[in-house]
Amino acid sequence: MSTEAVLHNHDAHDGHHEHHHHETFISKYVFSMDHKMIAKQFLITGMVWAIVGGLMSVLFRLQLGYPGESYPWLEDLLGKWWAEKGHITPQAYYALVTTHGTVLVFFVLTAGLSGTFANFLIPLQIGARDMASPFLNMLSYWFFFTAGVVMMSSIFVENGPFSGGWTAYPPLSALGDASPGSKTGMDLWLISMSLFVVSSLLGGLNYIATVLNMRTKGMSMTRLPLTIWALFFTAVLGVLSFPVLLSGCILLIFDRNFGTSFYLSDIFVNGVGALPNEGGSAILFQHFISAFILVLRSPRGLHYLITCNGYGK
Amino acid sequence: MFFVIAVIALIFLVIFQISKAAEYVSVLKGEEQSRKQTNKVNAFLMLAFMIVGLIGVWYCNEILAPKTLMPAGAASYQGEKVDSMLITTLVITGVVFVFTQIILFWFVYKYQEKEGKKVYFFTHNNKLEALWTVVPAIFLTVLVVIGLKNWAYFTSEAPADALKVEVTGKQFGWIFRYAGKDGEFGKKYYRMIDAADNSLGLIWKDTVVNRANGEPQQLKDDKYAHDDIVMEQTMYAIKDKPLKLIIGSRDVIHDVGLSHFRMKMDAVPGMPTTMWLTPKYTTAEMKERTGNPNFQYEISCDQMCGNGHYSMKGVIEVVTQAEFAIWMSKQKPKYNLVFKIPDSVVDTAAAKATVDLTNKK
Repeated sequence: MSTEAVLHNHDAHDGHHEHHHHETFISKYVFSMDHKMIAKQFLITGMVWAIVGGLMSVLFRLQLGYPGESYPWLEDLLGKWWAEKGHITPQAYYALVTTHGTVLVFFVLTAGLSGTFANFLIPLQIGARDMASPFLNMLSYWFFFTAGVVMMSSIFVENGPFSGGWTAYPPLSALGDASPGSKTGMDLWLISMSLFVVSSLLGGLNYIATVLNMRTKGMSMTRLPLTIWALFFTAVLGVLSFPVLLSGCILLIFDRNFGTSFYLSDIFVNGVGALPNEGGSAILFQHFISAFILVLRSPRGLHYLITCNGYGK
Repeated sequence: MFFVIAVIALIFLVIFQISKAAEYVSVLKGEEQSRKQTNKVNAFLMLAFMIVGLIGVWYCNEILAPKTLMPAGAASYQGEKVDSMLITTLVITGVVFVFTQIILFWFVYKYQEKEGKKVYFFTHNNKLEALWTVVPAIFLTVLVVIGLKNWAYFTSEAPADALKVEVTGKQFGWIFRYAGKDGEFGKKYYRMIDAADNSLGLIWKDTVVNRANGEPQQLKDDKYAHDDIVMEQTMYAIKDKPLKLIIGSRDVIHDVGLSHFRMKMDAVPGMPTTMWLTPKYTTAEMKERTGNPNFQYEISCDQMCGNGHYSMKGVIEVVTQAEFAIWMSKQKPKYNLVFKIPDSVVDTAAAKATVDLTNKK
């Protein structure tokens, strides 16, 4: 059979397939299991978060750039907690910096880029119909979306969102008495991050399974385009490093709510007194998050480098 | 503000209209002709971008460099090593940056699409790949080794004659402790902290405390803690004498940022850290060097520590050995201040202790 005939046959088959598969608006655009639609969902959500995160940076840089200026319209727009008398308040400044950092690092650079390109390109470039598990792929997006909703909701709680920096170092992030942002805002931040890690793991496992098992005939691993190698490698590293971040977050939840001392030792909080926790290590969490950042983020740079260098080949 | 927003909106509108007009022109001219024209313009714009960009880099440096702390130079001997590291890194990366940027944009201009020219593809070149991997690897290794060597030096054991100061971060300020006449820091325990009188929790009396596991723990009055000098916000150091900082925190993670000395170190609760440095100029000398009569050596908190993080400024007064001796002679141990013990009693007790020690020897 000639190549042309094969292609023709394939097209006919696809047409036949589509004819029988009727999709509703919900199944096509909302709870879609089509990798291309999910890629677009990741892209649009990532872009929305990029705009939200970007606007946050405009607000805090307005304060940083013109600390003496007063913008009364900011108070009208955001309220007293955020911009009393037209100045971004200290707690709002730190809350904005923290949420901006978290959103940009996790929702835009991690989910927005990886979710979009991996979903869109992997099946197309390896010759697969779709991902190994379209259902898990859909769940991956909706976990990401829910993480975003929880993060967004943290902006509206009474004590404000978490304000201890996107790396969330304890004891500051563990003690609500040390910082108002470490009260409900931090609980929501941790829930959001946990949902996000679940999303990334579901996505990563799916990318790995797809690249390993669903390549078309003749598409050996050595023939894979460099983009796929890079996305595959990123997914493997993600699966290795995200659980570390999740473990760190879980231990932090324990320290916050169940009286454990993983990160806490020798602490005296103004207005509260000495805490009973002893023996913990405050830099244990730094090790967790550094492991996550080093393992995941540095090769991601390499990934773009390889992709760019490989472009003309 | 509204004027700025209006101008930005207008610029967007103009760009939109120009691109729309360009589209109509391309339809009139024909697709192929128009594409080639755009390609030429883009190639030229790349070159223009490179020239404007590099001039911008140079210009920003001209304007902003005098505003940094670099012109005054490092105020410690160890800081000079940091500056030298920074300059080495900047020279290496700067040369690479300028070279690669020029090559990048120049190639885009030089090898633009032209009639009769065909693109030359090559799949790979082992020599080239080995070269661009090995050369940066060597440079990076050298930079990392210099960094590790300096780090080991800054955090190594300070010279025996170093002035030892304990620095404790708290929300939102700094507490400094000098060992007092006996030269030994007394023991402390965080549960003995009393925000008003005993901000470090020095053990000044026999006490029993219940630990987290419910077991009682006996704390013994530590005589060494009786003459410790405790102060807040301002610390004194001596010119040309090594200064060992024993750094800790009372609540969350802070960071002792000494930008004039080019040093910094995290202050972690429950985990003391150390570093040492030798101040090179007194505060008075720095006032002259910088031409700023209000100059102060500043301790800034370099780790986000809560809503008052921005206000956590401490001051280091660097003085001569003689000035330090005068200042120190006026300081009273915190124990005496809290328990209102007159100086004469302490002096007698200290003298007695000295005699005892001498006799023992």
